[in-house]
Amino acid sequence: MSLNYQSVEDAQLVALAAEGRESAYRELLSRYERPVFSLIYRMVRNRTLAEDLAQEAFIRTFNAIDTYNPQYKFSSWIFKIANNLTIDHLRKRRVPTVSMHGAPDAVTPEAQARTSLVVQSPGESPEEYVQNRELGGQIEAAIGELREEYRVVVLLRHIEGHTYDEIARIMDIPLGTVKTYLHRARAELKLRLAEA
Amino acid sequence: MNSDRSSYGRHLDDDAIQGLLDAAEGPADAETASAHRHLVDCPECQAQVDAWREVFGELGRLGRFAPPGRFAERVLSGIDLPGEASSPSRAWSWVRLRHWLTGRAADAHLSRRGLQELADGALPRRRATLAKAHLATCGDCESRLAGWRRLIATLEALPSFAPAAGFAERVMACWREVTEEAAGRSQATRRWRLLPRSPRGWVLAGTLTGMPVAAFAAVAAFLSTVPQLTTGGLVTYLWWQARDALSAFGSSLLAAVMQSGAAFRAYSLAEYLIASPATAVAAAAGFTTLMLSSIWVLHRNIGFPRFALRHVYN
Ligand SMILES: [Zn+2]
Ligand SMILES: [Zn+2]
Repeated sequence: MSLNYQSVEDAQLVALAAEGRESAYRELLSRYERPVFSLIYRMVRNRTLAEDLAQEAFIRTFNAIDTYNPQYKFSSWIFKIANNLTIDHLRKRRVPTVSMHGAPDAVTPEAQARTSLVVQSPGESPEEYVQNRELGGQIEAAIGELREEYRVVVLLRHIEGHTYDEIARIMDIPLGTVKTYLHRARAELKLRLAEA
Repeated sequence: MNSDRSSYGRHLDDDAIQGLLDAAEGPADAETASAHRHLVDCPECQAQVDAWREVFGELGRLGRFAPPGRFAERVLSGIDLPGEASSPSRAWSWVRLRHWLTGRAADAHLSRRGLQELADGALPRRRATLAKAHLATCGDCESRLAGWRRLIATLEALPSFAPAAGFAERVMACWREVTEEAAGRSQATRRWRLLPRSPRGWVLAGTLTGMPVAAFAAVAAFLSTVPQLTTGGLVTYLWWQARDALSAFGSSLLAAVMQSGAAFRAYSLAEYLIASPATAVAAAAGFTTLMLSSIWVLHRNIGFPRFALRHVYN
């Protein structure tokens, strides 16, 4: 029996995948590889690392596919897994390259100078070149300077188009906190863009 | 009207009060909780809340009973129905009604938060109606709203990024590997556990069984070089030698044990253990634990090193 997987809904795809159909896994991948990668990439701001984390997010999702609760959207579920993975990684590594102006916890000017990204044109690797081109714009830089929680809510809301309720579920925080994070994040973005 | 509602020391603005009344229908968040704390000590804000409650109540009653008469029509004409654009005249009547009911200046500006939620389509309908009424009369708020709309439009226009080519293939390959490992693992548990499961295990097991075989073969090869030896003679000779060695070892061991007094101590220890069942049980348990843990250590070291992809599952 052949199925046109492109017209199948997420929940059905998950059921087919749970039966062990490889083509269902492939379809889920083709639907979510860009959104999941984009979210993680904007969080960690490094293509190689983002791909590794995205791959792990998919493997974890596939591995737990028979525990999926169809009451919730599949997209919320996979984003929850991807977000947990990314936040865990950022907490563990405290990546200093997150900000163009230094690590978020760098309080002294010396610490900021030490941890800040040096944007150099000559001698940058092809990957760095691509990253600078992709994330070097004013708005991307401003997003990159937001603290992690603010960044996630902005990306989930305005790039992925999730509802406030879905964001609360993805991030495991109360609805009121989602709203507060969103307001502060947008206010910071507006300020940074006005300064620039 | 930029009062920060997260600090409940300050007075509540229109937005906060309406939020409070809206929140009565849904779950309370930290914000409404802090507003409630402020209200306890502030009669001024409490009065404002009462006035707004009246407005809300009025609207609810009108919606349900809709008494005949021009007043109701006038009030209803001030409310934006979903999908309807607000016309300035309607908005004006609404602002006047609000002013009349609350005794507040009609030029109360919208809060930053209210504007953001309006731009994002997330403001509850009643608050959106009030906000639109104000916007129709206030160029200042209108331009601030346009600013938030521009920001949101900029964000929403951002591209999504594709991972490097072949990403899906790499994920599928990794996924196949993971499922095969898992299948292999469950099969291996059904197999005889003592069989080595890794090249290292096989080398270890091979060495352990190979050494005695090689030693025996070497001895046999040496003996075969002695011409007058027959198989029967060799076996008889070996048997005698073994018996002599065994009895010599046994008698010397016995002598050593008797001389050291160890036998006596072992006998008295056994006597003591038998006399007290509790110590006997404890000794047996200790012995068993020791045995089991040494078996486990052996099993772990001879078996498969570790499941390399474990981190994927946690
Ligand atoms: Zn007050
Ligand atoms: Zn205004």
